[in-house]
Amino acid sequence: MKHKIIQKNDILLISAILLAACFLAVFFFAKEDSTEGAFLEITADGELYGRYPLNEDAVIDINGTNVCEISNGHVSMIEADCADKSCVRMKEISFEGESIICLPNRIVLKITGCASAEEGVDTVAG
Amino acid sequence: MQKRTEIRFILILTLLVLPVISCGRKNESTVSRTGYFFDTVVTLKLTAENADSLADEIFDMCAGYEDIFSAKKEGSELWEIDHRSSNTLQVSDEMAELIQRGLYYNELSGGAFSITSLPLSELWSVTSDDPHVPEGSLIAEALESVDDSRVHIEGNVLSFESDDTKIDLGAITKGYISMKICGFLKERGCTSACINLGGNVSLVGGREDGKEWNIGLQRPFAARGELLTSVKKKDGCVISAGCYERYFEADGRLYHHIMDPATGYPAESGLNMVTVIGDDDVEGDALSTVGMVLGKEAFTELLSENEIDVRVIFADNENEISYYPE
Repeated sequence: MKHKIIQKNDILLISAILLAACFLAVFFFAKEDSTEGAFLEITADGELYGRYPLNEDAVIDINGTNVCEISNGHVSMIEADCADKSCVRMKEISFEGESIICLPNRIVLKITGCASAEEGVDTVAG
Repeated sequence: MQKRTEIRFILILTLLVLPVISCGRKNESTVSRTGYFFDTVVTLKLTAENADSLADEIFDMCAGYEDIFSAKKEGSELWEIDHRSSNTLQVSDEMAELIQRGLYYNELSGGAFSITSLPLSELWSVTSDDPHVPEGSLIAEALESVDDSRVHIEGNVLSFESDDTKIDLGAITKGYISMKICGFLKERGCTSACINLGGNVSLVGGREDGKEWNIGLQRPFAARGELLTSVKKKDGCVISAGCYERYFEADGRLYHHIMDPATGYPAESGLNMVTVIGDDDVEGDALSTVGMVLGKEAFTELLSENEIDVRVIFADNENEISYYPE
C-alpha cells in the first residue's frame, strides 16, 4: 500500500494546532484590548495609587488629602488640603499626556493609554 | 514512510516556532514611573529586559546626584562649596565636570549664562512665600559677587578668587543628570526610554514600537499639559526654559526666575519660552537659559556664529512661535 504524504490524522493534528493558535490569539488580543481606552492614572508619592477608566464617572479620594473627579471623560482635582491649592485651580484634563500635579502632597493625575495614541504625546517638555 | 514522518515533523515544528518568533520581544517589558527629586517631578518610561530594576537604579542615581548638586540641601557637596572655609577645594569628578561645562557656557554666551548668580537669585527668591522686588542698591551689591571669571577649575581642584563667590549649577544640573541617565540606559542595552526631569525631556531611541517619540511643549501660562506645539524625535533631548514656571507679579509686572547677570533683574528679552532640541542635554539646558537672557536675535546669531547644531523653538510674549533654523 502506498502511503499518502499527508494522512487524515495529520490534517486533524494541523487543524488542532491552528485552532489552539486561534484561541491564543483571541486571548492575547482580548488582553490587549482591556488596556486600551483612556485611563486616569493616579500616583501618590511616586507609587501607583490607582487606574480608573475615563468613561466611568467617579469621585476618588486620594489618601484623604485630595479628591479628584472624573466626569464625562474629563478629570479635575476638586479638593486638596494643601496651602496653595494650585492643583484645584488647574484646568481639567482629558487628553493623553495631560496632567494635574499637587506638589505639596506629591500626587500626580495623568491621562494614559488613549486609544488614539497617535494624537497624544508621550511627555510634555517645559 | 520515513519521508512522511519528516514532513510531518517539519510541519509541526513550523507551527510551534511561528508564535515564538512573533513573540520575539517577550523578555522585554515597559515600565512607567514617577518620582520626586530637586523639588520637581521625574517621570520615566523605558523598555528593556530588566526594566523594573533599571528604573530603580535610575531613581537611586537621581538621589545620589541630589547629594552632590543641590544648592539648597544642607550637607550636599555644592552646599559645602558655598559654605567653604578655604577658597581652594578638592571636588568630585561630577562636580568638576559640571563646573567646567558651566564656565564654558559662561564664556560662550559672553556672560549671559552664569554659575555664580546665586546671590542674585537668593536676593530675589522668586519662589519664596512673600517675593518682592529688591531695592536697587541691594541688587547692585549682589551683582558685584556675580563673576564666573573668579572661579577656576583644574582637574579636581576648585579655587575661588573671592570669598563671596557662590556657585549655583541649577540651570544645567537637570541636563547633566538626564545625560548620565541616558548614558547608563544605553550601556545596559535599553533601546527605548523617555525621561522627563522636571520638564527636561531626554530620549533613548524611539518608542517601543520603533516610531519617534511625540514630545508636547507646554503652552506658557496655560494649564499644565496644554500644548503650544509638539516635536517628534528619536534620541537626544528637548529642553525648555521659560518665564512661566516660577514667577511673581508686582505692580502689574511679571518677575521670573531667570536672572540676567548683566542687569541683576529677571531677563527681559521678549520671550516666554525657549526650547532647545539637540543631542547634548547639558548644552540644551544651558542654551535654553542663554536664549531667554539674550533674546531671539542675539541668541540665533550666537548659534550660527559658533555653528552649534541644535534646533530651537521660540515663543514670544504673545506665545507666537518661531524657529531656528528658520
